[in-house]
Amino acid sequence: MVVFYVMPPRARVWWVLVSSLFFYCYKSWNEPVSEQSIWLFAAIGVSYVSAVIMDIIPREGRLKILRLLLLLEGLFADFGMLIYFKYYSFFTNRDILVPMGISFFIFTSTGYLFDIYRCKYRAERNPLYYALFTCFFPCIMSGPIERGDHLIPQLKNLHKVKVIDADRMANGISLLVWGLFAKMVIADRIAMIVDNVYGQYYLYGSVELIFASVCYSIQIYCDFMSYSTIAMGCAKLMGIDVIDNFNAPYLSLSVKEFWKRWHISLSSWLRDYVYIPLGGSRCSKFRTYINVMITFLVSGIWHGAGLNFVIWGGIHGILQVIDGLLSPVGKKINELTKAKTDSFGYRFGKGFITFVLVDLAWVFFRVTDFNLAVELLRRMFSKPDLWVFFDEGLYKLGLDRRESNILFIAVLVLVVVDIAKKKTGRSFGDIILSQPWWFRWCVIIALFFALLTFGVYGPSFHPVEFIYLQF
Amino acid sequence: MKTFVIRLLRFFKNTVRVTAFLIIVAILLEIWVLWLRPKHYDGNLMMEAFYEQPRNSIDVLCVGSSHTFVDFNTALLWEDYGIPSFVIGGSLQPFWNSYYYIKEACSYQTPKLIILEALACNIEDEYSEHGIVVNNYSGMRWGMNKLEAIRASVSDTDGVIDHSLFFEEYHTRYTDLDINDIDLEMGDEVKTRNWKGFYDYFLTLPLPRPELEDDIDPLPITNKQEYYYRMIIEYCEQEQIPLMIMVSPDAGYNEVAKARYMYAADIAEEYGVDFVDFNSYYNEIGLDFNTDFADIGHLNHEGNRKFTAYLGDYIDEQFDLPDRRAESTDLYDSWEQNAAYIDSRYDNYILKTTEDLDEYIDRLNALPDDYEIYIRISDITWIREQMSKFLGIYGIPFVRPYDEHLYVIRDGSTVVLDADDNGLFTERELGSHRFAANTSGFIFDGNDIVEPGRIGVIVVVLDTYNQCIADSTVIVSDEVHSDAY
Repeated sequence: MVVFYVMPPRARVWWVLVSSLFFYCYKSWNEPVSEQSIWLFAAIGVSYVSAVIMDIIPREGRLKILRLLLLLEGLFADFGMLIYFKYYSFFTNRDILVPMGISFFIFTSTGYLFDIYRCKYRAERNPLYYALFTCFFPCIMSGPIERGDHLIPQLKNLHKVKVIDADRMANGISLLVWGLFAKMVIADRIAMIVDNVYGQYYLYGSVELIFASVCYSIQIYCDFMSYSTIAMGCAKLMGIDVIDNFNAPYLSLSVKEFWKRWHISLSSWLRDYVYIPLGGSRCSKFRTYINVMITFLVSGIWHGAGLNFVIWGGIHGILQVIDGLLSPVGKKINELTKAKTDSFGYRFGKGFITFVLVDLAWVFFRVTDFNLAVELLRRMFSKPDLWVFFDEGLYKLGLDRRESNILFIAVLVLVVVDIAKKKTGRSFGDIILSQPWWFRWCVIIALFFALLTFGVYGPSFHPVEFIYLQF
Repeated sequence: MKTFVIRLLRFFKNTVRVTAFLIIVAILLEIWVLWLRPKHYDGNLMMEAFYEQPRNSIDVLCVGSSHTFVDFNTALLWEDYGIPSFVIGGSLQPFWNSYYYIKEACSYQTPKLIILEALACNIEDEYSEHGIVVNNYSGMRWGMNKLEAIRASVSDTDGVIDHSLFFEEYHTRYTDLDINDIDLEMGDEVKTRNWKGFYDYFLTLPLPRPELEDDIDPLPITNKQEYYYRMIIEYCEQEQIPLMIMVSPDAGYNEVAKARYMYAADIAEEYGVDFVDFNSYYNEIGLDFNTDFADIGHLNHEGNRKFTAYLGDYIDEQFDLPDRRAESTDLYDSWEQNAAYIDSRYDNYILKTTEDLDEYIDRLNALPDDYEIYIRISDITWIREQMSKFLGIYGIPFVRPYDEHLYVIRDGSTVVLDADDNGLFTERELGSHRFAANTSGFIFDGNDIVEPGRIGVIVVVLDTYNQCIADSTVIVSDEVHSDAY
């Protein structure tokens, strides 16, 4: 970052590209470039050439079939790589080294090819900018999945970024510390409860298992949201805006809304490149529901080669279909009962039901064995142990009273931030930036020292990898 | 022109804001480090105290493992020989650690003698554990000595940078922060500038006296230890600082250790350096293995006094060390203070462990003016002869059935106090500590000093110099401490 600021502005793009490639390709001191890196270069080359030729060929006329062929060739190369790396070991039971963040890289690349095919914007002719777009280091490992018309113009203006811009720095740093706080103070701390209870589920009753599943919902949210927020913060410090991937998903009032707030860049990618090409909602009800199911099954498969991910995607698809089917009935009931749909109680109830449904689906995401997931769900509702509320049993699940208090306060901070994000529709950095300077400084400094002190790091703790790195 | 001025002003404003923010974070980070850094008597606090010493005031520098800071009594060396000495030692300190400590120390002081303690001959590890590195180096000031010391202690794969920042180790201390972490004067335990690195070990463990065979051949120490051992000798040679290498008395002394010390002694001889294994002089020192050891490796409060007296005689004879007691008070006043501190801690311990009431009374009467004695007669309807004598000494009458007063013996006279409406007799602040006496009992830093509801003559001895409770007891018979809380 320091080099970025001190080097000649025109050279910044080169520096960011070299950093991105190093970030992606570096394996170890003895073997600086990993074998898998060659696939990255090949994929960048194929999609770049395909996109440029597609852009040259007129959309209408005799050669338009060639455009389609180029798109298919690009998609074949991208998805071929994705399928090989992600599903080879699943079908052959042989382990292979999978390039980091391959799913995110492939989705960025294929989205770009689709956009060029549809003539949404012109293909980037400068291979430097295209390569940087596909492997921009803050986003490459766990997203967000960027779009060409959003990121490439910003990359072209890297030389115009001011070295000292207090507002931009405050925005970027606040995102960085918030992301690190969510990861190191919340996600990695709550992981101790989740790992302990899921690892020895047979020792625990309903309340403890339900509590652990709620903890997992918070863990996966903070874990993934933190990565995206850190990526946003890094990019912001270089003067680049990337998509805010999460906007208070657990404050959603329906599963449909949840997917508008959770992993926004993936949801919108699936909408634009899977759901809409399938016909979207501009067809019969039945066909729409099939499209929804296919989209969510693709989402599940994208997350990993495992039946549990397919089931998880399927559950979300089914929940959306049921929501679609029952919403007219629900409206009728509301009319008949004159329900106060704007009241806090009504909205809280809807939010609570949504959270419970999403939370139960996460069990299949966490537990790779289907039978085990079913057994866990069975035990959640068949082993009552309400006494754990009174005999301090909840403090024996992996965190003692002090650590639990720290976690509780940190989660409260998360709730406050999410409410603010939902109300304003803005990123954490923008919310902070809209505050007076002294408040901004206090928040940043408080978060920084909180993560420095209460963060789960160092020899006393085992570092926990970002969950979404595996995708 | 106007645009240029506006842009310049904006740039200036931005720069000021960013700089101010960074300065505030740096200041807070410094406070964070001060609070959370480990505060161990060995290693880090010792080095911090070292930097507080007046320049060129230390004549004898003792460097080595934990044996140095519990065996080498700096107070006794000052009181009996007028030698201003300082101990720099960390637990399980290898020679590379000692080497960089010596180099660092010699950039601030000009010692007339360096005593190197040789327990490191028995350390076989090539690198130090993470905790030891943090403990021993976090007190050193940043510089090449610190960086090289860390580099020598840490393998490449462990990461020099990780070990250098120490944050990883610091932050977990939030779980045991207390008043001493926040109080920069370190409470009553360490008077930073006055502390000379020595720590009295008040514990007694009877141990068998080591009996070794005579026929032992030298056994090489590890290459790395030998390398730095030689470096220390050569450094002292180069700086023309007399060096003495010693092995302090050790109840765990065995054939292997002796063989290694013999090897180290041969190297010392090669350079013409004094090497003394004090395990060969138990009788001359007067060590009693039943009373003079705190654990298998360390001398206790009695043992270190015997050993230091013997060592003091030895270095006083062998090396040219001036008696500084009559010299500039500014330079050596802290050694006087250090001796008073160590002596008072010793006196407190002896008071605490005295069981005979007559002896206890004698000790109380011998206490200097820094002490205050608080006495309450709690719920007793009868009194024994000795207890009556005890109260009589301080002019305290025995009132039946309840005596509602608190008696305070201060500066040789007895003051009688009544409780106020809230039941409070008196309260006072001692540095960062709070002491209070009320009708329920005595409280120090929020804790009851004597179990509430105890019957008898309650005696609390307050050491105002060390800001601590020197002793507390309830006299119910002719013995004290037989049933103390």
